Amino acid sequence: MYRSKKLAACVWGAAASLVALYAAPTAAAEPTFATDVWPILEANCINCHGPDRKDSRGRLRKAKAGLRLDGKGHILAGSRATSTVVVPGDAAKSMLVQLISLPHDDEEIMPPKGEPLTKAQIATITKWIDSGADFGKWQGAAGGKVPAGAGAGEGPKTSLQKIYGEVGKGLEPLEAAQLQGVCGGLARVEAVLPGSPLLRVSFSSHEKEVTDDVLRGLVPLRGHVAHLDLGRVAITDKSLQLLASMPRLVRLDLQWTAVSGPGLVATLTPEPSAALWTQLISLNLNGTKTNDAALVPLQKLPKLQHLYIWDTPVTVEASDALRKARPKLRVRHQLRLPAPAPEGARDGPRRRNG
Amino acid sequence: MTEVRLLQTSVVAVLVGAVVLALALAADADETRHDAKKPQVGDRLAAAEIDRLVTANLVRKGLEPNTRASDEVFLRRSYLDVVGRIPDLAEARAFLESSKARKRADLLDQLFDAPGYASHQFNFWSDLLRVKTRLANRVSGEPYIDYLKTSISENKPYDVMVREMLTATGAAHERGNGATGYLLRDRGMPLDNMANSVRIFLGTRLECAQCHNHPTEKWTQRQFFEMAAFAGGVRYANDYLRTPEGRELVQAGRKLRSERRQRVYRYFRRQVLSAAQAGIGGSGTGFELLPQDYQYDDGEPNQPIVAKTLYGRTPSMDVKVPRITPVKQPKRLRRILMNRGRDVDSRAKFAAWVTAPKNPEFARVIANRMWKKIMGRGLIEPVDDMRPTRDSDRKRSRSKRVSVEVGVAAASNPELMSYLETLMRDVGYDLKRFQKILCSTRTYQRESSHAASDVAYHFPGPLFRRMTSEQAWDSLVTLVVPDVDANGATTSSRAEMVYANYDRVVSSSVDELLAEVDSYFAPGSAMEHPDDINRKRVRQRRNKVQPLVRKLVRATRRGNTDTAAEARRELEKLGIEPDRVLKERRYGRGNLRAADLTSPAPAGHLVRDFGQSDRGEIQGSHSDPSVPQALTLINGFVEKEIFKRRQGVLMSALQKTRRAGDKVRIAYVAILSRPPTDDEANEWRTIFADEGKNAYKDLVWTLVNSHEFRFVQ
Amino acid sequence: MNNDEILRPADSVTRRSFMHGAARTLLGLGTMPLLSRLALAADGTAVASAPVLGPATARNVIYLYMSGGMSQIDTFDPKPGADTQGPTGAIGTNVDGIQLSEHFPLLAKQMDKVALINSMTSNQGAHAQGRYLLHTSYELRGTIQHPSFGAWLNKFGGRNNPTLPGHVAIGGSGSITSRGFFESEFAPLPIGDPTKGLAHSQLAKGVDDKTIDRRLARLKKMNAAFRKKFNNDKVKAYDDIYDEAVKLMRSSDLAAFDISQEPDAVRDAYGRDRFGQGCLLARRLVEHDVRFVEVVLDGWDTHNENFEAMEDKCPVLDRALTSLLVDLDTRGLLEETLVVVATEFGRTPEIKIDRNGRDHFPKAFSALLAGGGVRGGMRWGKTDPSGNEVIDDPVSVQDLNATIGSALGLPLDHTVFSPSGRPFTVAHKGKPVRGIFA
Repeated sequence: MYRSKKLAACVWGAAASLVALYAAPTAAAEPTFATDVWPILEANCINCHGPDRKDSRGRLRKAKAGLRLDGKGHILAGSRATSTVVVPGDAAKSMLVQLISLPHDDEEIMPPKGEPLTKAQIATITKWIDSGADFGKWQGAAGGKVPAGAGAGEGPKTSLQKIYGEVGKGLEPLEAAQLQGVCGGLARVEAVLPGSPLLRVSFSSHEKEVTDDVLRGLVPLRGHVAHLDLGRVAITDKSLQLLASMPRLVRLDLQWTAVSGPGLVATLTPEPSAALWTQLISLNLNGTKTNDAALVPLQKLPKLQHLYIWDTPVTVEASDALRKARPKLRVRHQLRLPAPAPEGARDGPRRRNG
Repeated sequence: MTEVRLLQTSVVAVLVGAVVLALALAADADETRHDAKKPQVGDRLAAAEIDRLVTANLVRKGLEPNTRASDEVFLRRSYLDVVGRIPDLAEARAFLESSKARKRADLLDQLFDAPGYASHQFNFWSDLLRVKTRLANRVSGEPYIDYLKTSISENKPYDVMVREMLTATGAAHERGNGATGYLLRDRGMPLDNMANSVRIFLGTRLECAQCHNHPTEKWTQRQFFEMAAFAGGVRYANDYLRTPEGRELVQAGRKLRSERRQRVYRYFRRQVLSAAQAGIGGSGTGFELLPQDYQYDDGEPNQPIVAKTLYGRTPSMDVKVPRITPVKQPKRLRRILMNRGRDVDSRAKFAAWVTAPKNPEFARVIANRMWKKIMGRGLIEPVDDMRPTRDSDRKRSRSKRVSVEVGVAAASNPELMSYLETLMRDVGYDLKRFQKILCSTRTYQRESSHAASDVAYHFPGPLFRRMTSEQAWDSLVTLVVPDVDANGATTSSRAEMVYANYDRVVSSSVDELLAEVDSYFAPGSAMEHPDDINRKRVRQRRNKVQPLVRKLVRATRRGNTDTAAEARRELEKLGIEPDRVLKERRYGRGNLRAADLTSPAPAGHLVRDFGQSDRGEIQGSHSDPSVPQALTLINGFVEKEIFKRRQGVLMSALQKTRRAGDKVRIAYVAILSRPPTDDEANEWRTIFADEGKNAYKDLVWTLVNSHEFRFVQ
Repeated sequence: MNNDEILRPADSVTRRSFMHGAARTLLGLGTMPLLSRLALAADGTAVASAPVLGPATARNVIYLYMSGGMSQIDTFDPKPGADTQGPTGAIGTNVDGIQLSEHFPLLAKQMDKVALINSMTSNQGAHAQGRYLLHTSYELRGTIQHPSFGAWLNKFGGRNNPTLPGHVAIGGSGSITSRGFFESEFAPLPIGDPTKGLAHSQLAKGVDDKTIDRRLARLKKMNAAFRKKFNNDKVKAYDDIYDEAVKLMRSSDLAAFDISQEPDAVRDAYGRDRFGQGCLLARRLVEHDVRFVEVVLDGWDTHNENFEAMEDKCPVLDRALTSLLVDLDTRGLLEETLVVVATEFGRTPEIKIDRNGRDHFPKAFSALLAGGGVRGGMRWGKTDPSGNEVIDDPVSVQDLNATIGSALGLPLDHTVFSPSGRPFTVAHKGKPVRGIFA
C-alpha cells in the first residue's frame, strides 16, 4: 500500500517537476525550499521531527510519529501512519498543511507547543507544496525508507488471503450489473476480500423468504461464489444440485436448513471422482438431518478442515471414525459446555457485576 | 438592542451600586442565609450586573440577546431547573392564569422554597460525588445520602459542607455522621480520593500525576504525593473496634469463625461487626510515602514526604515524620511507617486550604458549576479542568502566568466569571441564593438557543438542552402521582434503619448481640439460613399486611369510616403508614422522585436509560439519545403507568370532562405546560370526533413522545 | 502495486480517499471494476460507502471489558515463584508453555483457541482516562468525544443485519461506549440487564401496529414543527432513534435479544450471573449478524482484598468466557468472530500489604484474543519475572485496537474529520500485531 502511495507520489512528483520545469521562467515568486521553507521547518519542527537524540536526562528521543522533516527522503516517506505528509502539488491533501493550519486550540495542531506558525509561514509552505514541492538541490539527511507495518493492507498475507488468492486466480470479475438485485434483492453480495473476484453471499434477516426457487437466482454467480451463508434459510435438498455446481466454494454454511443426509449422499456420491467442492474448507451442517451415511462422501472432500455436525442424527461412532480417518479435520459434533457450577460451591458469584 | 443601550446608560449607576451591592450582599450573607423569602435588594442588583456583563460580552462579539421567553417557556424551564420536574396541571394553570406583574419573581420565590428543590439538587450532587446506596462492601450509603439531603434542605453553605466532608471521622452508620461517606466512597483509595477532591472542588485534574510526571501536564508526581500527604494515615474504619467493647465483639466474631459456624459468622459480621466498624479514622498525619517505584530525581522510593499544597501557602503543621533507614524490607517498612504516624489534623488543614476565601479556584469552580447547572454550559469548560493544564493553555503559555489569571482568562466571558466568583463569596456560598440570582436574570428569562459543544456560546439566553435523566423521570412521574415531591420524607426511613442497627450494636452487650444472632440460627428453627429468614419474614409480613390493606381500601371507598380507622390502626401497629400504602397502591410503588430511588437506579430503569450515571465516574450522566429511551416511551411508561393508573393526576383530570376541547387543553397544559395552539386544538378535536373514546390515548402518547417534552426550551 | 489498494473503493466522505481516487484516475486505473464496493443491500443500493481496505479475517467482535483494571498476575500472566505472585497459584493449560492463574481451570482447556497478549502497556493510570483510551484509542479531552471502537466498525463496515443495531453494549454505563462525533446511527444500543433482553420492545396490551403507525404519523408531524424552530443535531438524533426503535420493534430478528429461548443447561453453563448471561446474549446477537457487542464485567478495582475478590471475579469470567468460546466454536461462529478480553490497565505486581490489595498499574498488563482469524495457542510479548516491566514486544492500547481493526479489515490510516475539522483515525496510529493471525 505504501508502495502504491509512494508510486503515486512519484508520479505526482514527476508530473509536478515537469510543470515546474516549463514554468520555471515565470516562477520567480515561488518559494524555494532551501531558503524559504527549510528555515521554517528547522525553527519549528525539527526539535521533534528530526534525528534521534538524547534528551537532558539522557533518554533516547526518536522522531515523533516516526516522521522526520530533516531530509527529502524522510519528508516524502511521511510518518509511521501516513505517507501523505507532503503531497507534491496538493497542499490541501498534505497532512503537514492540514495540521499547521488547524485552529489554535486544536489538540492536534502542529507545532504542539509554542506559538503556531504565522499565516505568512503557512502560506509559504502551502505555496511551495502547491507548486510541486520542489526540493531543488537540497537533500538533507539521507534515508527515509518507506516505513513498514502500518495500514491494514500491509504485511504478510493471512492464510485466508492465500486461499482466496489461489482459488480466484485468473477468474474474471463479474460486471457490477450482474450483482444487482440478486435473488430478488434478498441477497447481500460482496467480495470475499477487497479486490477479489470471488463473492460472499448471505441473506441476513431474510432467511424465511429464501426458498429453493429464490436461491436459483444465484445461478449466474455460481462460478464466483466462494463463501455462501445459507444458515436458517428455507431451502431443501433441491438446492444441493445448485450448490454442487459452485466449484469455488470455500465456506458453505447450511446450518438449520432442511438439507438432509440422503440429499447430501445423492449429491456427492454419483461421481466421487468429479471435482466437486474441491476447494471447500468449512462446511456447517449443524442442526440439519445429516446422518452417518453422509459422512462417507464428506470424508473425501480434499481440503475440508472444519466440519460442523452438532445437533444432527450423526452418531458418536461415525464422528469418531471420521476423526480417525481425517485426523486434521476438525469435527464439531457435540456442544461440550462446562458443567454448571456445583450448587453452593462458594458464597455464589455475588450478583453485583454488570 | 434597546435593552443593550438601556443597560449601557445604567452602567454608571451599576458601578456606583457595585460597592453598595458588595456590602449589601455581605451583610445579607450573615443574616439571611437561611431565609430566601426576604426580598433582597442586593440580589436584584447582582442579577442586573450579570445581565450587564453578559450583554456587554454579546455586544463585543457582535451578537444580540435572544428575545424574552414566553411565560409558558419560563414556567416549564424554571420548574425543571429549580425543582427538577415539569409543573403539574394545577401548578401550570395557577401560573399561566395569574395576571400579577411580579409573577415570575413570585414563582421563583415559591420554587426555591419548595421541597422539590432539595430533591433536584440531590441529583446534581449524587452525580458529582458518585453517591451510591451501597458505598462499599458492607458499608451502607444511606447515612451519606441522608447527610446530603439534610444539608441541602437546610441550605447549608457549600464551604461548610465541603469542610464537613473532607474532615469527617467516626462511625459511618451513626446518626449525624453521614459526611464520612465522602471518603468511604473511595475506600482504600486515599490517592484517588485526593485526585477526586481536587477535581471536584478545585477544578484541577491531578489524576495523571498519580502514576508519573506527564510531559504535557503541569503537575509532578511528587506534587501529587505532597497533596495526598494531607490525608496520610487515614483509616477506613472507625475506632470502635479498638475500644474494649469493640474488642469483645471482635473476639466473639473470631470465636464464631473458629467454631466454623460460617453462616452465623457471616451474619454476625454483616449485622454487627461491619455496622460497628464502618467509618473513617485518623485526622491526618501530614505525611505520605512516595511510591515504591518512584523514578524521579526529586525523591527516593518509599521516602516519606510532608504535605504541601499545590499552590498558595501551606498551612503549618507539626508533622512528625518517622526516621527511615535504608530501604531493605520495603513492605514491612511501609507498614511500620504507616501505623506509626501521629495525627496532626492535616485533613482539617487541607479542608481549610481548599475552602479558604483566598483560594480563587474554590469559589470559581462552584460558581461555574452553578452557572452551568442553570444556563446549560460553564463559562469555563470542562468545569473540572479549569487550571492551566487545559490543552489550549498548556500549549500556548510558555510564560508562567499566575494561575488565577489563566483560570479566568480561559472563560468565555472573563469579566463575568470573575464577577460570579466574587458573588459566590459574597453570598457566603449560599447555593440556593446564588442559583436564585441566576434565575432572576434577564439572561435566564430569554429564549434559549443551541450551540454544538465545540462551538463557543455567549449566552444570548440559556442553552437549549435535553432534560437530565432525572428531570425526565420526575416529569413523567408528575403526570401520575399527585404531590409527588412529598415522597422524600418516607424514604429517609432507610437511613433510620441503619442508624437504629448501629445504636443497637453499640448499646447492647456482646452477650445480648450473640443471643440475638443465635436465636435466628437456633437448631430446629426454620430460619437456619439468613436468606430464608428474610424471605420468610417478607412472606409473613405480606400475609398479614395485604388483607389489612384490602380492608382499608374497600372501607375507604365505601365511606365506612369505622372499619377504615380500625384497619389503619392495625397497619400502624405493624409499623406501616396507611396513607403511604394507599398512595403506593394508587400511583405505583416505584413512582418516586429519582432522588428517592436507589442510587444509582438499577440498570434498565427508565432513569438509567435516559442517562443517569452508574456512579462510576464523576458526573457520569449523559443526555444522549438511545433506542431504549424511545422504546420505553413508545411501549412502556405511557401505557403501563399513565394509562393504567386511572387515579393518576393526568388520567383523573381527563376523566373529569367529556368535552374534547377540554381534554386537549388539559393534556397540553399537563404535559407541555402550555395550551394548544388553535391549529393543534382544531386538529385534535377532529381526531377526537373520528376516533371516539380512545383518542385521548393517542393524544397523551404523542405529547409525551414529542421533542417538545424532552427538550427544555 | 498492490491490487487490494487499487481496488479499494473511493469514499466521498474524506479528503484522503479523494486523493486516492484522484491518483487512480491519473494513473488510468479508474475504469477497473471496483468489486469490493459491491456490498449490496437487499434493495440493491451500496451498503458500505466507506472503504474496506484490508482483508478481513473477522466479521464481528465480542468485546469483554473488564472494568476497573484486571490484575494480570492473578489472571493471564501468573508469575509462580515470584514475590509478587501472592497466594494465587498457577496452572498449566492444554498448550505447552502457557500458564494461567489457578482461577481459570475451564479456560485452561481451551487455550488452543486463544492468543494471550502479556505485553500490554499504557500511560493512563486513572479509570476514566484508561477506559476512554481503551475504547477510543485517544486520550480523554474535554472538548471532543471520540467514537468508541464499535462505532468505528459500523461507520466503516456498515451493518450486516439491516434491522438490528450494529453495536450493542451490555451492562456497564452508557458512557463507556459512545458514538462520539459520529452520527446517531452508530451509537450503541445499551442493554442494562441481559436477562430482560430488550425491554419494551413488545407492543403494550391492547395496542396494535395500526395504532402505533397512526400515533407515529402524528408524532412526526408535531416533531417536524418543533424542528423548524430548533433544528440541531440533538433533536435530529431523536428522530433517528425513533426510526431505529420502530425498525427494531418490527424486526424479525428481535428474538435474538431473548435469552430465555436458550436451554437451561446452556444458561447454566455461562453462569447465572449478569456477565455470563450477557455473554450468552452476545453470542445470540452475533449469530444474528450484530457486528460489535461489548459485555462489561465490573469489580476489578481491587485496591483492597485483591485475592478475596479474585476468588469471586475470576470464576465468573472463566465460566462465561470458556462457554462463549466453546459455544461459538461448535456453532461455526468462531471462525469469523473475534473475542477480545481487555481492561484499562493492570494492577501492581507489588502487593499493598496494609490492605492486601493491588493498585493501578498501566505499565504492564494483559489482554486476550480468540477467534476471527487469530492463531490460537500462543502468547505475544512478555513481562519480566516479577511482572514489573514489559521485556518483549510491547503492545500499546492503540496497537491492540489496530490489531482488532486490522482483523476486521478497517482502514487504519483512513482519516476521518470531526465536525470541527480535526483529523482522526480508527486506532490513532497504532500498529497491528500481525504475528497473532493465522
